[in-house]
Amino acid sequence: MSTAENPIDPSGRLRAIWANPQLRYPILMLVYLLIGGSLFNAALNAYPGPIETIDRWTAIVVHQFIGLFTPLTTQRNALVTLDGFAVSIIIECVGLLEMVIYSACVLAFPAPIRAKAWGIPLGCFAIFSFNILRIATLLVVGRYWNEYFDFFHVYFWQATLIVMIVSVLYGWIKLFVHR
Amino acid sequence: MKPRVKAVLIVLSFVVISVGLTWIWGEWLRFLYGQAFNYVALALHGALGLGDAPIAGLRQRYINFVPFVALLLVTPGLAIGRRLGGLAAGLGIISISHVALNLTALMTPGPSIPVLAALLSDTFPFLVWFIVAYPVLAKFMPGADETAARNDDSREQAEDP
Repeated sequence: MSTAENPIDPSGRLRAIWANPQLRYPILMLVYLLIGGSLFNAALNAYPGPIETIDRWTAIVVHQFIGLFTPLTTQRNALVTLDGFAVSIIIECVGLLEMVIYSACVLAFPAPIRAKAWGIPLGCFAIFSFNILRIATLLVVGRYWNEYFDFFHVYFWQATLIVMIVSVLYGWIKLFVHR
Repeated sequence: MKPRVKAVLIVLSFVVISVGLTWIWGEWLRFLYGQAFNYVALALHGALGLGDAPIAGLRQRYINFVPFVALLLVTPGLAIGRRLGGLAAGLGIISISHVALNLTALMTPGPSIPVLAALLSDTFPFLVWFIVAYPVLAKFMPGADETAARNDDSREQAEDP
């Protein structure tokens, strides 16, 4: 029996784990997530100004998007309203956390560098677009079906976060990896 | 069944299951889970010498079991044994991650929870789903031994009563 096959040998065990994509992918993803998350955390603490700008920009894009359908919308700083119903955009609402998770998914995936180089910016843009749609939907629900706002706020946050990432990842794999 | 019809059915099933679970969570499960969580977390705080440290206000994030359950239930082609076993093990692991998230928040006082802890908490259901559903997902992984993954799953299917 070789060292790699010996189940008692720790280095052989580690090699066996690393050779198994079922475990290698989640481990790699966690490593990229820790790196990306640490950088993001450092940026949050070091540059609070630009982060506030991202909140405001998101509010502006949501306002412009809703403005395509109705003039009953206003925006001031990170606050967007639809016919009197207001939501405040905070850092957790702008999709940056989802983009960090998606980027870790792509970086850990066994794909050519070129596919990853296309996948990260395009995927992040898709997540940003989904997120604008999500906030706009919440504004509509809050304005017209206010009693359901809390439910949809929770639903469109945790419940759909993973699906948004899985959908964009699936699209990337289909378009760029399995061409 | 045509692939497009199948895809639409999968998406519809996901929506029905996730909306249903979110509703159940909001109506009563959140309260029950919170009570059980308090019991476990306070016992853990005592064991760790944190005394009666408060339970951090992170319960909104504990809903991350919903996408895991919904994804696992709608993933086509998984053996029933793996699906049910994965569901039980996955829910257990996700609950343990909630306790860990709570401890992380207690150790880093501030107005919001630490970004890294939030990221890990949000990603956890995806990772657990990936590991449980790997026999089906292997076909998407270039270089993965898809045949071995499929054989592994069909062996489980054969073992299922």
